[in-house]
Formats: sequence, C-alpha cells, structure tokens
Amino acid sequence: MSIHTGPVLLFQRALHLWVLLFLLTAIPAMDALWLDPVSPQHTTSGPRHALVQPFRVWLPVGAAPLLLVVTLLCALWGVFRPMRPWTAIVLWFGFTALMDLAFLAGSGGQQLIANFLFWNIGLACAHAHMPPWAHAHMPTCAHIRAWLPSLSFWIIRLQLLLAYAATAAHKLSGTLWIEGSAMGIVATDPAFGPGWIAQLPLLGMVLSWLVLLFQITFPIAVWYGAVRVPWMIAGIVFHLGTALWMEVPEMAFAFLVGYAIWLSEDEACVLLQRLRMRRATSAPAT
Amino acid sequence: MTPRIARLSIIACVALHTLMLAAYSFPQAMVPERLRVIGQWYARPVFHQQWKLFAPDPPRCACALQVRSGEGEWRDVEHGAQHYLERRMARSLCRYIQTHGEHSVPGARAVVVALTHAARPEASAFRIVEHCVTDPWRPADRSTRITPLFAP
Repeated sequence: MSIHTGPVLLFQRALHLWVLLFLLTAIPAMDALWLDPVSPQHTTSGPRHALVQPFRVWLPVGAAPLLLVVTLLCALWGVFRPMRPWTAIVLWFGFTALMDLAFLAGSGGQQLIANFLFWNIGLACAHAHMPPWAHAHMPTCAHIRAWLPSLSFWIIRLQLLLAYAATAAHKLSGTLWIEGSAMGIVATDPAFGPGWIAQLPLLGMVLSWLVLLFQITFPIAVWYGAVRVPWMIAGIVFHLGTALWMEVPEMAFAFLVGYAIWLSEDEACVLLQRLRMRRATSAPAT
Repeated sequence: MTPRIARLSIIACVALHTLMLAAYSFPQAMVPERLRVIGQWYARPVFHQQWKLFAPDPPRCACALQVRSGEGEWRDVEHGAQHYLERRMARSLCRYIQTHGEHSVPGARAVVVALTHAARPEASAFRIVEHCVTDPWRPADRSTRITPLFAP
C-alpha cells in the first residue's frame, strides 16, 4: 500500500505546529497546569500507565518544566525539519505526560493530538524511505512504500473519521440534537455562546441539524473527491466557530490538523508549494 | 514479506485497531458488552479518547463554582481565572462534582482552593450554582439551584 508524501509532510508540519503553539499559549497557566499541578494525581501502575502517565508512576513532578522545554524543542524542530523516529517518540511522550499532569484542562482535541503523535512515530519512519529532496525541499511529490508508515498513515486517517462518527453516534443516542433544541441550550450556557441564537429558535434548530448532518456525513464524504474539499471547507467553518465561541480552540485546530492527511497528493503539493513560495518571497533580499 | 501479504497485514491491523477504538468510544448501547471490555483494555490509557462533548445531550444545567471569604460576596471561580485552560479546569471540576458528587473527587476542596488561591487566598465557603433549562425550546429561561460544598 502506498502513501502520499505531500499530505504526510503537510500533516506532520501542522501537527508539530499545533503542539508548539498549544504549549506556548499554555505557558501563562503553567503554575496550575504543571509546576504546582491543580489536577489530582492518583497513583497508578502498569507498564502502559508508566508510559503515558509517568508523573503518577515514576517521574517526579519537578521534572515537568524540563519535559516542557524538551517537548517544545522537539515540536519546534518538527515544524521546520523532518522528524526522526526517536524525536517523534520524545515528542509523543512529553506531550502525553504533560497532558495527563493537567488532565482537568484536557479536551478531546488534546486526546486526538496525542493519538496522532503516537502514530506520527510510524510516519517519521517514512523519511528513511523518502527521496533526499523531500527532506527539506519538495519541488514535486512522490509515493513512498513502507509497512509502518502505511499502517500509521491509514490509522491516522481513520482516527479522524472515528472521532466524527463517535460524536455523531453519541448525539444520535440523545434526544435534543434530533429535536433541534441542542444548539439553543449550548448557546445560552454562560460558559459558551453565542447567546443570541436563543432569540432565533429556527436558526438554532437548523444549526443543530447541520452539526449533526456534518458529523454523520464527513466520514463518508472524504472518500469521494468531488465532495471532499467542500466538506472540509464546511468543517473549517464549523471548527472555527467552536474555537471562537466555545473556548475549545485547540480542539478545533486539532481536527483541522487531521484534515491535512486527507488531502490528495496534488492538493497537498499545491499547499506546500504555496507555503514555500510565501517563505521565499518574504525572505530578505541579499 | 511479499507485497500482497504486507498489504493484507496493514489492512488487518488498521481494521482491528479501528474496531477496538470504536468499541471503546461509541455509546455503550451500540457495542456488545464483551467487545466493549476488550476495547477498554486495548485503548486505555495509550489511545484514550472521549467524544461526548455536548452529547448525547448538552447539559441542561450550566454549572459554576463559587467561593467567598468570610461574609463577603460570592465570586465565580471560572470567571476569576485569567487563562482559558484555568477556566476549563474550574468548569471540568464543577461538572464532575455536579454529576458524581463532591466526594467523588478526592481533594476537590484543595483543587478549588488552588484554582482560586491567587485571587482569593481566604476562601472559606464554597458552592455550586446551577442555571437549569426547564423548557428546551426556551433555553434562556433558566431556574437557579444552589448546592453548598465541603460543609465542615
């Protein structure tokens, strides 16, 4: 099974940028998150817990600042350069450990990124199979073929669809989303918004059904070239709306990171080339 | 490994992993009990994920943790926090106590004190204030319910 270089590179850069920006924006709250963690830390045991919940098993909380710096450096490296498997392992370990230490501040978006980062280790192995030019500059895109990268590529793709399908299934098992009153209730919760939706019950009803329809159909639409991009654009609008009003910005952008790996080779190449062109044109003349 | 075997093994692994995660993250009623238990064993803690934000229904009661010092005014912990992740911690704790009771979170009082410490070091009384929807089609009209917390 072959995978596409372009979407993989775009996904990895977006993923590492997400981790970098999330951790940087969390630094003002680092006292409550990591230095003197507010989240209760129950001890646990077992090899898998030791991996993803090290602060509960073997790592002293005092090591959190060092782990934060190392994780930030790995993410920064991954934004600009191809990541090696060991760097990807450190990034995954650091992020999941910090996320668990501050679990009260957690979100589905952070969990999605943690899953992406785990399989990103497999994607990082792809660089060993890429042509040399793909490491730093990509004048064109190529197919790569390797077992572990292919496995990781498809698991990451399906992980995104699973998230939409699971949340749609949960909503379908309730009553308010089907009735159409859910958006009005969310919007009038002081923690979220926008409250003015309650003044327009018809709009609230249509938005509730649109959200449900989008989450049900996205896992199907992305398989068809003709509707994939329009559905992704709808998703961008939806997620930016939740980022703006529901105070879950990292959740919104985590889903958008996942969109990158669903792009076609041509679409990803166009985006990568545009990003490179922008960087080239913004560089000072020598 | 021949290309055909490699391809089949990738398909099998991807399908199995996705099935396990689906068994873990889909509603209980949709997943056979035995498969759900296997899914939990597989997914926790490395692949943990929860997709129940505002689902199956959004919470009918908005939830706010409040504290006060002595006989002073009640102040909202969430609105007093500067950072969105601190506000989320206050919200998560409030929801958890609202759903499971104050004794379900060991050290919950200490957590609330920690969240309010910077602004109000002498917090001595705690409560949860809920604003509850009574008619889903008139969500702005909410009744208020107050529950004292951490009574001595």
